[in-house]
Amino acid sequence: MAHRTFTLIGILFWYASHVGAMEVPENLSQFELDNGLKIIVIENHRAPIVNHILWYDVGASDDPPGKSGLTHFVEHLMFEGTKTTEAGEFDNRIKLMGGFNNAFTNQEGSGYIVEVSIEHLEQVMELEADRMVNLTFKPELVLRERDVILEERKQRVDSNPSSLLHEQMSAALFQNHPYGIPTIGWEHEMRSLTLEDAKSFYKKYYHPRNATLVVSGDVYPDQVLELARKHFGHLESPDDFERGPKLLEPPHMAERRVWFRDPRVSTEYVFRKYYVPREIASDEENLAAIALMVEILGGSGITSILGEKLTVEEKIATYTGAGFIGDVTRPVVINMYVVPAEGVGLEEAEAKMDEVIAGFLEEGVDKDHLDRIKKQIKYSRIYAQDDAKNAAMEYGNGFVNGLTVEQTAAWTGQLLNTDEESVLKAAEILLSKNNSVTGWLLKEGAEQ
Amino acid sequence: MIKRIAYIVVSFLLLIQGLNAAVDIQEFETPNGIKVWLVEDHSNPIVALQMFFLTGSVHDPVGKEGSTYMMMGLLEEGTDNLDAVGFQIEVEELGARFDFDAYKESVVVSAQMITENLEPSVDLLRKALEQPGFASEPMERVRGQILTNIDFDEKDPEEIAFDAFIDIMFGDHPLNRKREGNRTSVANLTREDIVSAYQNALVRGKVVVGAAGDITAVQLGELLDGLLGGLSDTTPPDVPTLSLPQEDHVEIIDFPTPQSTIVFGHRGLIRNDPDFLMAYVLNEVFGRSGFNSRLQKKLRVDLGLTYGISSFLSTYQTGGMVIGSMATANETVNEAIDAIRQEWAGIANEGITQEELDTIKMYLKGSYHLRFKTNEDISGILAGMQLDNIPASYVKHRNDMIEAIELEDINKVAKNLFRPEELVFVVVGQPDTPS
Repeated sequence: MAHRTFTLIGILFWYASHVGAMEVPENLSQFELDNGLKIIVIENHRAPIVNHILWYDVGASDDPPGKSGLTHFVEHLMFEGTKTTEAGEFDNRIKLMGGFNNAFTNQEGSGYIVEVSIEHLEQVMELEADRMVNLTFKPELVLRERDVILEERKQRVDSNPSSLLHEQMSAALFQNHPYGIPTIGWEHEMRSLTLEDAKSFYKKYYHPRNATLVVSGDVYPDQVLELARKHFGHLESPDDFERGPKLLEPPHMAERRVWFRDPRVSTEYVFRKYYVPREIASDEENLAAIALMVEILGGSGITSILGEKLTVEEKIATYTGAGFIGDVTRPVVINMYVVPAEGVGLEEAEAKMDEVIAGFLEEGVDKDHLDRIKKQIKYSRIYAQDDAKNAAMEYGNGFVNGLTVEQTAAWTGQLLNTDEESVLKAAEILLSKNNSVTGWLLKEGAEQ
Repeated sequence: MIKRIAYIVVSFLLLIQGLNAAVDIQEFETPNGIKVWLVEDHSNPIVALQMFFLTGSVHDPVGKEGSTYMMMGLLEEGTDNLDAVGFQIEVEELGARFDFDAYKESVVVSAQMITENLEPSVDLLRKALEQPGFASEPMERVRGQILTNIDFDEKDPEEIAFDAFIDIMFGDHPLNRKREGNRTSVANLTREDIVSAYQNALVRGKVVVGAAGDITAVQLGELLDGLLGGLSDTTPPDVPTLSLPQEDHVEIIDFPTPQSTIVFGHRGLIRNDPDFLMAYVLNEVFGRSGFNSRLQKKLRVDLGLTYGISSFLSTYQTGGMVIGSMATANETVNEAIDAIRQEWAGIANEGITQEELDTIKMYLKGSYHLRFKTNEDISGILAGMQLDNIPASYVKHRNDMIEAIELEDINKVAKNLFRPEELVFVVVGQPDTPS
């Protein structure tokens, strides 16, 4: 039932960020300014609205050692005023235009979203160009905003046993890559973030060469290019911009387990994360097969294998699910969970989950099921057209995740060209638990 | 054969300053008397429908709380000759997106369908609505899911705080009962209870429809008569009028967490109150989520006490409330409550400033058309307006009505809307005791 998705399901969906057209769509244009700013324009004239999304290729995985949470902290400070604007003025100006604005940080990127009536496009560009280089760091504002992100951590993570379990599991899964460190940061490191940290981080990563501007909606490529030249064209990028070394995962050689107990737990469940080794995940065909394999196994409630077997047939579970996150350019993780039915223990739930995986490997892939998923992928393209923001998010995410426009566009085609055999082969990743962490969320005092 | 549809198309264009875009609402009744508003748009091959029934979980009999909610959840779980998995597979094959939900004063059926699959999609939806299976397999599974959610809510500080707040406000009124029901009632619901909830909730005489997308009024009229014609036409009994308390109160609920959740507020206005629009504008200044509200400015920007604080107007048929919520460290709960009280007294006594009024007018006028974006958004707005008895012409005049608001008038409303002496606070957490 779709009424209320169980809280942990949210992170698992791959449709939204991944579905791409078979080739670069006709309504998409790409440019690059002399200072290195990349520009993607996606025309969608259904409504007189424009989405202006500025993406910086800097995410929590770029936080310097000992400074976790810094990327996210800087994102907050982007609203605290520039040489010519007051703290909070950015919001006020967008509000006077009748627009919406927001920002986010994830492991790979930072994004600044503005949605306004088309006639305000130029003013938005002016404001975004200004805060790309002119941010001021007022000491009292920086300290107050650090209090805010500490409250944010309490609210989003510490108040939620499921979030804490995931934080512990990710820390156990990644042995070298920074994905083991939470985007929001470890509390003790967040407390020690300084104005100087924020300033030098901003200077290093906020400039045209490290950004992509995605403009989608009721716009024309030449118009956007001209405005972008006018407002971003004169900004300078440093010559010596170099990121830190990319840390890679070593081979995972031992199964890991996490038991997390909390008095606030209402329902116990089993959650597993598999790290997909780079040799496999960095190949586009493999990744498409993994995406489909995960969808067949647990992507759609009762019509996927886990759901049908464990909730409908055996009735030992209330909810089940599976999903994946990652790209050919970055670590890929498969998630899977079973929420046992009343009276069923976690040990049994986990054993049943493993049974379903083994059965899937033995029985192979049902062609009708795979075809049905492919049909839905095509339909989801039509739905996505309804809001110009979807395409802007898709290509912007692709950029910060290290994908070219062409790679993002090719993804749907990759999925549609994948056959049963490749999907089944992808499932072999699930054979060994050495590259996995299994987590049990337990009520306080529960036996493991 | 094409049935004659007796409809009068009344168009209301929402004209946007300086642009030629418009939302053209067609208003008509189907031959069977179903009220429909449609915005036709053939630029993307999908159709969005939202059917709001003015019934809801408030009508659940005592001891059968949650029956309407479970019933709506079961509509996507199979028909009399198609099991749950079979039904979902057909939905997936057609690329349709159906959603069934129950609220306290309404139940909602929404559908988004691909134009080329419109006929089989509507047919499948009709089966779900007319011939629901309510078989034991989905019923036990869905019961388990609802119980899991009820357990979850009992350990969720925000849910605990809102429930306690509603309990104080609604007392013995049937609206106090949660739409999901309680552990005992849900555990004991039988198939008969579900069937009875079905007969009471999905009634033809209580439905209003909003539609948007790739369909004409004639097509839609026929489609809806086919889709909803088989439903019963009973009238649910009246619900007693709400009467809300007027005394201030602070309730602390002990919960082991580093951060307390605070829910606060008091009685407010109903949607049809002549002052509602001004109250709405006031709340946009005072507590709308986002950086610039008074609450956010004070508690997040000036004091750094919270990641976010906001307030909203909650409306029911016969009563309304102003409600706010926030989370803050246990150590700073008292500071936060003091600050909220100050802000409340400030807006009640002094109102808002001309500058605040001018700014919010610009925002509200400029952003209104951004709400009419996707077919799903539009169909939801059209159905929601009918449910609230707002005429379609409202979309045309709404910005003028906002522009016409005078500072003196809105500040009179502020004095009446914000009542610091009636503020109720519920704190869930382990706050420091007041010094």
